[in-house]
Parts: sequence; C-alpha cells; structure tokens
Amino acid sequence: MSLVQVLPELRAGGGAQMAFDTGLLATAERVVARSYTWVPPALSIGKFQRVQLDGPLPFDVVRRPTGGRALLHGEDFEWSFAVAFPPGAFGAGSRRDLEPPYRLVSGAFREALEELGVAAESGRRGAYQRSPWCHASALQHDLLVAGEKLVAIAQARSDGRVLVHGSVLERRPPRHLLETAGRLLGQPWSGVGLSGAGMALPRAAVWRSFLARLQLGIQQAAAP
Amino acid sequence: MSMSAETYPDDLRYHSEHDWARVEGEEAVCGITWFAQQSLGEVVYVELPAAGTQVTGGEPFGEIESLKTVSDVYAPVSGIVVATNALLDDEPARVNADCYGDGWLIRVRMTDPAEADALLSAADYRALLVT
Repeated sequence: MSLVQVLPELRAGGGAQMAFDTGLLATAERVVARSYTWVPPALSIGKFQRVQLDGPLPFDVVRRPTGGRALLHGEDFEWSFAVAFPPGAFGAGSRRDLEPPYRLVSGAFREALEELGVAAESGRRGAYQRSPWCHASALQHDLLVAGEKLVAIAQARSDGRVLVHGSVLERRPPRHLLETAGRLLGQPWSGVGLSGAGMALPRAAVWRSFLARLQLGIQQAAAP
Repeated sequence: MSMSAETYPDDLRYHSEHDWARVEGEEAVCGITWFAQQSLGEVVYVELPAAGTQVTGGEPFGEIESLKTVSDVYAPVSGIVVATNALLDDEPARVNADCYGDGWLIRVRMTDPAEADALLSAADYRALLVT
C-alpha cells in the first residue's frame, strides 16, 4: 500500500479548496497529498492576516488554515498543493518540532524540480521583509529559482496533525488582479514566477516527481 | 529576538505540550516554554480566548502564528480565563523575548488547584525534552 494517499486534482473555488484542506487538518489518519487549481482566481490570506475588503473584486478572498501572508491564485498562473500528516507521523516526541514536515515536503519538491532540470534553492534571502505579500520574503523552506521565490510553503498544526501548504507561482499574475490586490493590501505585489524566470514546467510532471520523492522521503524517515 | 539561554525555571510547573503554569493561590499564569518558542521561531500573532472562557487542561485554548507555522497552544490546567496578556496584541514577539515573564499568555482561575500538582517539575520537563 502506498504510504501517501493521493487525491484527484481538484479545480474549484477558494472556499471549497480551503474547506477541504481545513478538513484534512482536522481528520487525516494517514499521509494525504493533493494538488489543485483555483477557479475563479482568489486572494488567500494567512490565518490571522487582516484585510479590509472594499467594493466588487475580480477574485474571491479566502482565509487559509496555515500562516503566512497573501497569495494570488489562478489556474492560468499558479497551482497549489497540500500534504496532511496524521498524528504521530513524525514520532511521539515531535509535537513541537516544526522542521520534519517542512524538510520532507520542501526537500521532495526541490528534488522534483531538479529532476526536471530546474535548480532550486531553499533558504532565507536577506532580512525578513514585513509585508502583506507572501512573495516579498523567502523563509528557510520556501524554494527559489533564479533568486525569485517560486514555491511558497506554510504549515499549520492542530491536535497532532500537520498540514503543509504549497503554492507554485508559474508566471506573473494578470495586472488587473495584482493592482486590485495591491490596493487591498496597501502594498504593490513583487515577485516573478517560473515563466518570468525563463522556465515553464509541465505541472503533471512536477507533481508526479514530487509524489515519488515524498514517498521515498517518508520511507527513509521511517527506516530504523 | 529570542531568549538566548535555554531555561526552565524551577518554580514553574510544566505540561508535556510545552506550556508552563505559575501557581499563585487559586490562579495560574500560563505560557509556552523556551523550547516551544524556540521551535516556533519569531511569533507574529497570538490568538487568545476572552476573559470568562472555560479552558481545559491538555486541550487547546488558542493559537500562535510564527513565521514558520500556525500552531495550537495548550492549557496546562483547567479553569476560567481571568486575564490575557494585552501586550501581545502589539508585541507578539515578547513570547520569544521573555516567555516566562512579559510573554505570558493567560491567567486562569483553576477549577482544581491540585491539577497543577500533577504537572511536570522542571527536572522532569527537561528529561522529557531529551527523550
């Protein structure tokens, strides 16, 4: 039996996507992974991030169960993934150790990109920039390509379960989304995207490679 | 900025979910330990219950967001919340800088003060961290 239960890709609105992931965080009894795209486009904000909504918007606004700051999502320029870990997945003494889920997921994604010829780096670049935008700074387990944050990774933990979120920004979001979101957040967006950095990768290949690396990583972590 | 030295004061009682309680008569001041704040990284937001809320020992009573994650915070003892640390609204990183002092989270009027006796001593908590 596979160590990872892989759910079918889901193309749906932000409310449904976050409800699904919130459910995984509350109920996962084995490792579950899923990829998804957002239709219509959405602005997701972190669990405790505040934003003042104002007038009609060209995107949904939803709150993630994970932390971090605002991200734009839309199937034409970005795709997301989630990995949920059940209680005890990282050992009985690890309820406060945040690193293993990050290392596993970020490491598997970095290796998947490298397998497809994309050299990804992880790690913080300079001092943390306080910004309402997720892409304004990179933390240790985010992934950068050509110096730009391409994969944003965040975590939430509840009752022994862990949910890791990932957002893969393939290209710059459309201008009208950026301008409206920048106005809402009080700061213009900054960031590029895979295509902006001169690369475009087939999502299915990246996801397949990631899943294989994730499964291998889980096997290795469980080995005595 | 985080407390530089790992420390677990002997006058506190500890819960296995990495929270502490300072017993003051029928009340207990509660917070997270040095290990917890170190693991979380820089705290950027703390969600605390309102005064009057019932909390249960061993169960979550709030959430902490750090640069790394959003995580439950567990009550070491049961009781009614009588105060929360308002300083954390504007300075959540006090949890990192002084987790046993200015970084306290809630004050609880305990349902059963004897519950605190069942918590871990500092020595037992240190032993837990190395297992």
